[in-house]
Amino acid sequence: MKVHTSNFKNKIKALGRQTDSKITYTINNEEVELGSENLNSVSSHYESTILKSVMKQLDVDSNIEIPIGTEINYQFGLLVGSSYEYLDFGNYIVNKVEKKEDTDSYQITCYDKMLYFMVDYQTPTISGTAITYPITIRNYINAIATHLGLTFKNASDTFANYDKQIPQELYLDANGKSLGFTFRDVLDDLSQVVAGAICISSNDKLEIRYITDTNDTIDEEYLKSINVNFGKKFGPINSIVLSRSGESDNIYLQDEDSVEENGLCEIKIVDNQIMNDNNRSEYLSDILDTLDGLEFYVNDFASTGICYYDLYDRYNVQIGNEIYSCIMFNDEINITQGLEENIHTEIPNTSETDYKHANKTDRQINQVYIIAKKNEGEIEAVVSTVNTLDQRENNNYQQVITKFDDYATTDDVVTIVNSVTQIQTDTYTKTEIDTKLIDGSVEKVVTTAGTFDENGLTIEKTNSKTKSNFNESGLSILDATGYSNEELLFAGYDEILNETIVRTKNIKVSKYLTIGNNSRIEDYEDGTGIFFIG
Amino acid sequence: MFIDKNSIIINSVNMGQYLVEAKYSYNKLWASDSGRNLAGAMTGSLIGIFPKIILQFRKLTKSELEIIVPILDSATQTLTYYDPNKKQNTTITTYTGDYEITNKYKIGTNRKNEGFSCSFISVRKRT
Repeated sequence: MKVHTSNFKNKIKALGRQTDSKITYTINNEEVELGSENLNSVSSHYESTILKSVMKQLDVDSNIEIPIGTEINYQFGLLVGSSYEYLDFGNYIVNKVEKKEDTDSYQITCYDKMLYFMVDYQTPTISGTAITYPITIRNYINAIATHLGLTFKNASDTFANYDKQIPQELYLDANGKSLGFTFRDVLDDLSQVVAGAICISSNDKLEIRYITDTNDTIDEEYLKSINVNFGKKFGPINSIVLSRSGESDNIYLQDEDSVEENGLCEIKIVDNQIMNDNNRSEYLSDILDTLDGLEFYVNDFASTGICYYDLYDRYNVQIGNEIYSCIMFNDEINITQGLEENIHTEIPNTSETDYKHANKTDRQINQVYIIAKKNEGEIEAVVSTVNTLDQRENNNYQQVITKFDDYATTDDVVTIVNSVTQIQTDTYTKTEIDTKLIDGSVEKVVTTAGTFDENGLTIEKTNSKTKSNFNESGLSILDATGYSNEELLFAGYDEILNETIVRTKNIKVSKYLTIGNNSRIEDYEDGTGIFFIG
Repeated sequence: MFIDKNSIIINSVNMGQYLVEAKYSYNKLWASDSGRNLAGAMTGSLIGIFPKIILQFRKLTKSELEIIVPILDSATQTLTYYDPNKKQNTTITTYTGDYEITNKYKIGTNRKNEGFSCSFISVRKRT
């Protein structure tokens, strides 16, 4: 809540209030103050929801041009008694200036120093030295703030998940190049991690802001008589879901008593780069502790002007006997000649997770999930049971190998088939061989002992002393010791004698030599005996 | 409030000698946010109170009119008057409304214009 007196609160709703505006800035070492004389209108607004970073905007219609990049301070004044009481709306950076020729004025668009975070992300540096990982969430935020020239307001505070570790650079690719993230994107992720809003404080510090109970109540006198809508109550929040993989892979933590008592009301955080690994369940406890029981009324109303509520302030609106507890998420204050403030709060992006397929930790999810690792520029599909499946597949493979170990592969079979085909084509079958063996069509058989062909069976070998031939004419044994092939023995039909004979060159008979029917020659005592045996 | 002959000075010209009447009005200007709130009460921003001084001039001679008219015809004037709220003389920047000067005779050294009035309206709200 902006600093103000009770008189301010009473006067802001009163008939005949008088307002003032002043913008101060320094240019060329000279302080400049623009008052109501030169300010035609000022509009302050911001849009937020839970778990986001927030940037405030100031639109100024001025008769004086303010250079782009100038840092200005805006204060809204209300005449209280005899003097103006000013509310400090903080500092802003002039981002755009347009000349309005018709009114000869300047339309000036300004943002608070969250504007500094709208640049491409790079590894934060402190005093020119890049941070090293792992780094705690608190130190990481501090490093980002320091890198961009701001002070981290909560650098010594304990807040949700402040001590969790970021193991490595998550917003650059493996080569340290940009993936299109801005520092603002990183702050959005960090807002979810710390379960609050990240914004710029009135004194330009980077601040983690949680919902602040102001215990302040406004009534119908602060509301216009048109456009006053208070919808249903949102909450109480009792379940936090961390989701990834196109919201198919969810883990959650619930306040089960609250769920049973009030019904489910969940906040789903989707594809947060910091809470994306399999230790993400460690973040859930702090987030649920922070948000558990949070509830507020959805609203949309036009006010005659309140002005002193700040981002994330909890306040009450009393209409009749009904009191609505609300949180300042979206605010637009239009200060022209008069004053109007439009406030609205929407239902956060809610969802209903299928808890049958979600669990409390990643270790218990036994299904396929996908981690959106944007920092590596790829979607990495991970199978939680991949080891089991791998082992099972390997076992099956081994079984297959064993089963088919004695079997030929298809390639082998094809080779064999081709060979058989070739054999069938190029050689004889057994039947054909049998036939050939008996039908006389075999013309020559060569063995290691000799050759069997049309000349008969010829037995000869290199370096053997004899050579034999056996054919239809008879048996012939030749001398193979020289080149003469002198006949040693012939048994067969002599064509000259026209009779069958046995003819030999030398013959040795060991006991009897019988000739015809009557004669025998043999050894006789120490001599030779020729006997008649007829 | 006209308390003495020096109570109205415009562009350093003491108007007391030319006037027969001065009317002071203090007009409230309400902003566009004025209206009734949800409780039914009137609410709204008062942009401010803008003093308006209507001066009734006596019949003026030619030379007197030649002093006054350039003041009336200028875009803005610096007017000092006695503010009873502040209980002191106050200087404001004003602009003038339309004025009409009636002549029934030839205007000369002795013949005068008819009397006329003109409004001086503060550019800024009374602070």
